Amino acid sequence: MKKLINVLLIAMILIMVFPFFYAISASFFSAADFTTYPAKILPSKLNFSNYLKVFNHKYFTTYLVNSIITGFSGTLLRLIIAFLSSYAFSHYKFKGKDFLFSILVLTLFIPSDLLLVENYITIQRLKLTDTYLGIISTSLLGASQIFILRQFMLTIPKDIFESALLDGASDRKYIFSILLPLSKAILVTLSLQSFVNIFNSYLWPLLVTNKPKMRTVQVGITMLGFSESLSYGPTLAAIILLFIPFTILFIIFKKSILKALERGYLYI
Amino acid sequence: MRKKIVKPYLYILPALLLAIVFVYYPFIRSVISSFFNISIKGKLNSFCAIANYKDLFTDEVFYLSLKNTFIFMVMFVPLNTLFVITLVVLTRRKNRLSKVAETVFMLPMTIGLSSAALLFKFMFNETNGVINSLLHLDILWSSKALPARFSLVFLGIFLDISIDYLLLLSAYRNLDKSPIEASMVDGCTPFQVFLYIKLPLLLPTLSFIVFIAIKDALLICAPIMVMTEGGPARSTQTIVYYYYLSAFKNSAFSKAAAISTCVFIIAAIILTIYKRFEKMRITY
Repeated sequence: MKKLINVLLIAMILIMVFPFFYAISASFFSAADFTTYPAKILPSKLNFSNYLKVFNHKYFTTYLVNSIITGFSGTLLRLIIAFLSSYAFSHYKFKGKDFLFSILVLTLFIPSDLLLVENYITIQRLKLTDTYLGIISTSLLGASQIFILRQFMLTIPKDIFESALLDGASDRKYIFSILLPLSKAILVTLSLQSFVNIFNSYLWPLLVTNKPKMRTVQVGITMLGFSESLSYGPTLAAIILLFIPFTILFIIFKKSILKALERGYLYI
Repeated sequence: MRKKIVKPYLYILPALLLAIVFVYYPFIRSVISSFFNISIKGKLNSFCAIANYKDLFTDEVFYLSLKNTFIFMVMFVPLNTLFVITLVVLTRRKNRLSKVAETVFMLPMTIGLSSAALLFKFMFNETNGVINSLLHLDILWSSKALPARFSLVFLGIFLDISIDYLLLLSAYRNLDKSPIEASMVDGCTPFQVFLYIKLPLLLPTLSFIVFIAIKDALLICAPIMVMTEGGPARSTQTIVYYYYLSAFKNSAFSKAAAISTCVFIIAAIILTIYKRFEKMRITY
């Protein structure tokens, strides 16, 4: 029984690893390696020309820079907005609190893909097409992050907040000297998730960018224009270049992701 | 004192504004739009009552897209669920191999949707793709409807597996040990324990995973845009992809609005059923 499980597990690992392994392997294919029949698994020899082509592509680095800028600014703004509102929801009593909270959480149940047209019209009216703000606009509200952060902040004993206020500490002082340090671990997980999420988004950035100069990399990668020549090489090289840094990040943060999940903080 | 009352509202304001501008306003406007003729620039021109819906309900492509979405759902949801359960059962014990497996099963989370779709398009190439050559078969992944649907299902599973796996794995490892041990003492076989004790205990997480899978299947669009573009012969054109095509390829905004309202209603029904199911389970 144990042997059978191990064999099955190894098979599953191989199946799941294969797309990644093959993408890496094929990114070193020469143009001729792509045309053989049956398909090759390993390159005939290590060939870096696909990577060179990606780096020499007119726009690839621009795409990448755009994604990094929107990824970072989107994550930062999303978390600041989420942090502030969950702070209010967990530390203050005020009229309409439950109602306002449910308004925010209910946004999770309205499929954003079906709001594309209207949001696109809004962004067009605000003249934000082809701007970074336009690209990140629809991802700034992190309702699930608000939900998770509020849940977390509710577990912090109220006494700490009250005694800080009694000592005359301002909100800002309480946030910076107590709340932020306490929330560090969860904020790290949430930022990683948000960054990957915004960096990898596809449909919205595709819609709001027309100029190649403003495209994000996940959009640009489908338009590198290499695939027409039936040579996937450079596209695969680009996929690998995007995939490696995130994989390293995830392996580093694997423990904290699992921990967050075990505490019941949905990672969506 | 007054200051204290204003403060929390100020903290919430940015989030609230975003919710209104990018969720509630477009949602309401999209529902209203479905009763209007809309100009190419997105302006509401004239009220036309249910004319958009009449057009939609006589549109064959609409029914075809609904049918395709449903077929995708029926293929994707059970396969995805079975696959997740298999992976979790195989890695339930912590050892060196399962630690490697955990990391591997997390990998798909790190790859972008469009990257994954491009990669799958490449691997499932029907003339000299690697999948066909590994299987020693000549499956027509992009010119036959059923294989094309399957290739999309595989992509869907690949895109969703990490989060589903992590959710179910942590639920499994946090299971209450006492009923399991009691049943072992009573002489249940491991399989019986799994089927009659563990599986019911995992039901909340499983039903959540199934719900998310149904929702994802209903709303699938971007992977199709990159991988199959709805082909062959519209066999993978789903409802949200049709919404996208109507709005951005054919500038038929009225139609798009009517489609989105229909999908909103379907999504609401699915959500209600899920909530009911949750309640039923709690009382039981």
